[in-house]
Amino acid sequence: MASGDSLFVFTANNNEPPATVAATPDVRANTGDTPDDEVVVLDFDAGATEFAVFAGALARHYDGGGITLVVGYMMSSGASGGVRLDGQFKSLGDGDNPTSKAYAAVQSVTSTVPGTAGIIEYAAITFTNAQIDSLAVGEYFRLRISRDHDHAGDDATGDMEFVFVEGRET
Amino acid sequence: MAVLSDPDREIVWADFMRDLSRDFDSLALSKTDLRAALDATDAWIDSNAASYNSALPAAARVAMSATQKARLFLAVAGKRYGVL
Repeated sequence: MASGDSLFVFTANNNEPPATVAATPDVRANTGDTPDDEVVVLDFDAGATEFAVFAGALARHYDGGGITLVVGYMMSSGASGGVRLDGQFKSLGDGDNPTSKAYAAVQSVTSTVPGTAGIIEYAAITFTNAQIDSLAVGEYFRLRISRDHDHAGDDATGDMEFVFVEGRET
Repeated sequence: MAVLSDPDREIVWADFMRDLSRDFDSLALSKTDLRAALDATDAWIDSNAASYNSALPAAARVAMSATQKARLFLAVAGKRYGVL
């Protein structure tokens, strides 16, 4: 398949929270709809690093070109500065031990938040094939998303609300 | 009473941002600048605590504990600025 093709999509409802420091489920309501349309989000704190985890199997049309994660988020209150988003993959193939295998190294992006809180922003994190833990087509994987709250580039106040993540062939 | 410790200021800073987020109260200010404002607020309170105490009528000044005086200050300030 080609660059840009979608490989997986996860929304906030797909989160498999870690045992501790998990991003908090929340909703953002559109009171202009009848009934109110409630977007389920995951709140990532501004004062502590929190995590969300998603699981799937890599689509068989992946061509080995690496993966670009596109994260859709909005800010609860912050309207200036940036957020530092981290992504990590863990492949669990035939023979791997899910209770002991570690995540591959973090890849990151610093995204400038929208000038208005509550507006969705898309931020991209790119991974080479090696950086996705050499994940192979059809293999089970876990994707961990976090906000590095004390990184120098993470200076936007208030919660970052995760909406969704898409993995695309780079 | 001295200014808040750095860990205590950090707790207030994190809680304040959570409160803003809960209320979807927009703020175009960096975390660093917010922290500077918090530190300045704490320093101002520390510098003016004696002045506030002196401004209270003698009966209240004598009968109220420091914590009660702080609660009174919060109640009035909150009402004045629509927080409470």
